[in-house]
Amino acid sequence: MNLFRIIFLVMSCAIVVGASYLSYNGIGGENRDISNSIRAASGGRGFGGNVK
Amino acid sequence: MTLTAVKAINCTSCGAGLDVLGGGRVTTHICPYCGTKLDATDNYRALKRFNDVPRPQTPFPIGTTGTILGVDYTVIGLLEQVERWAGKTYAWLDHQLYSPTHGYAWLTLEQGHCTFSRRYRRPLWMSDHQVARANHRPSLWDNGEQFKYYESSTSEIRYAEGEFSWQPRKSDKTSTVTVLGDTRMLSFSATGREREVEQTTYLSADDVKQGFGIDPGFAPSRVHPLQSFKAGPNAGFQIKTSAIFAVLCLVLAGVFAGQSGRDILGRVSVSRADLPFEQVLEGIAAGELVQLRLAGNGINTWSEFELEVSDPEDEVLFSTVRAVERYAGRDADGNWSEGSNRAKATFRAPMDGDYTLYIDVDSEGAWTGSGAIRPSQWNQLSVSVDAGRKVIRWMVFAAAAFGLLAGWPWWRAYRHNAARWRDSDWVDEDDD
Repeated sequence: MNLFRIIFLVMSCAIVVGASYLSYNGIGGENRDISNSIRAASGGRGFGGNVK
Repeated sequence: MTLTAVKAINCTSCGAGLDVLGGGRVTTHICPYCGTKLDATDNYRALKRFNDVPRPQTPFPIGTTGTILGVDYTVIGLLEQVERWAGKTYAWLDHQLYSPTHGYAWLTLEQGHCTFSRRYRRPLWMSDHQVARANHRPSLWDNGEQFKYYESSTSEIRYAEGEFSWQPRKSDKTSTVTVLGDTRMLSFSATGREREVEQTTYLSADDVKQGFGIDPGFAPSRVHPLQSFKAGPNAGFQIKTSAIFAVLCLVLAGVFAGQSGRDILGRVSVSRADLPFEQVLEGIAAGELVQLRLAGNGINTWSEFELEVSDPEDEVLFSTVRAVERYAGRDADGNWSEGSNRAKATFRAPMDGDYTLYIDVDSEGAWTGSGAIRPSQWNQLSVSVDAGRKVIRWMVFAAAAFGLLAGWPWWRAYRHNAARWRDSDWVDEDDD
């Protein structure tokens, strides 16, 4: 097995592992209009007396 | 002493010493010094001055010896041929070769490519008229190989020197129909009343180096019609391995798609009287992807719902708005509908614990238009939440990437084959 094939196999395995990690953990699945920074920036829009 | 035993002569026009290399069927010898055509069958009698243009450069001057396909040849003559078409002049060099055991052949140099041609003694022919009458690209079969029409050309000689087994004439035009197979090219040439079939094969730069012991310095910029595609040494490995990894990625994508998350809140039905709606979402783990889903039942109305989620420390994690709207009616084209009564919001939980979801209507309205169904506001809102969701698009992207890697060698072969036929002069809408 030559160097190209070894590198190809290693990179392919890395791609599968990396894609599996991203998929399993749902990376990139969050909505872009939902940001946790709201919590740091304000108390949110809030209603019903639940906003602190 | 027979004529074939003569090894050298003096030009009967200029007196220059000329080697005689070409065997007993040579009829014409053109002096490379003075350009006079000599009759080799009549004591090299001077016939006429042939050349009035400079000698073209070639890496195979007369007297060069080499091996082609295991046969030793000597270059005995040089022709520069030209074709004029569409205001352009195309030139190539034909080298007349001679082998005492295999006779005469041609070594051709054109645009940095080298080909080898020999007379082909098979009952095959394709004429200009056949081509002109054909509705589809003409083709023929020989030895199990299909040959498709490639081009028609008319050439003439611009320069000649050395020995030939025929009489080159400057005024003669040669019409040639060429057909192309996978490994060979057949040329059907007619000059006046003479006609000849030649078979041409490609000589790579390595073939030339090994056969002639010289580096011709070829640097072709275009693919030659006879140039076969050479896949890389790892092409088969790349195709198989990439295909296996692509399938593996699709299988994993299917596995992840089957794990659609665990229910935190399973389809709770909320009425207008329940608003504002508040629900604790229990047991969400840090880092989990959580999805809130709404499904209304209104028609020709829109409702914007305000969603707010607080974390286990009762701090607002986010607040957002999702619209539920569906419209339907009937017009001249029939029934129509658009929009969706469903909406969702997805977030990532920053810590373990119980979260709180609040829902209320932010704004809503009705739409009435020509042909529209009577508006009806929602009266039941289905709310569901699950956590631990997977995102399979990464596996799909990886599968697609491996698919491209698997297809890349095929794509290169396809492009190469397209380049082989690029210069064909056949135009047919149905041509494949």
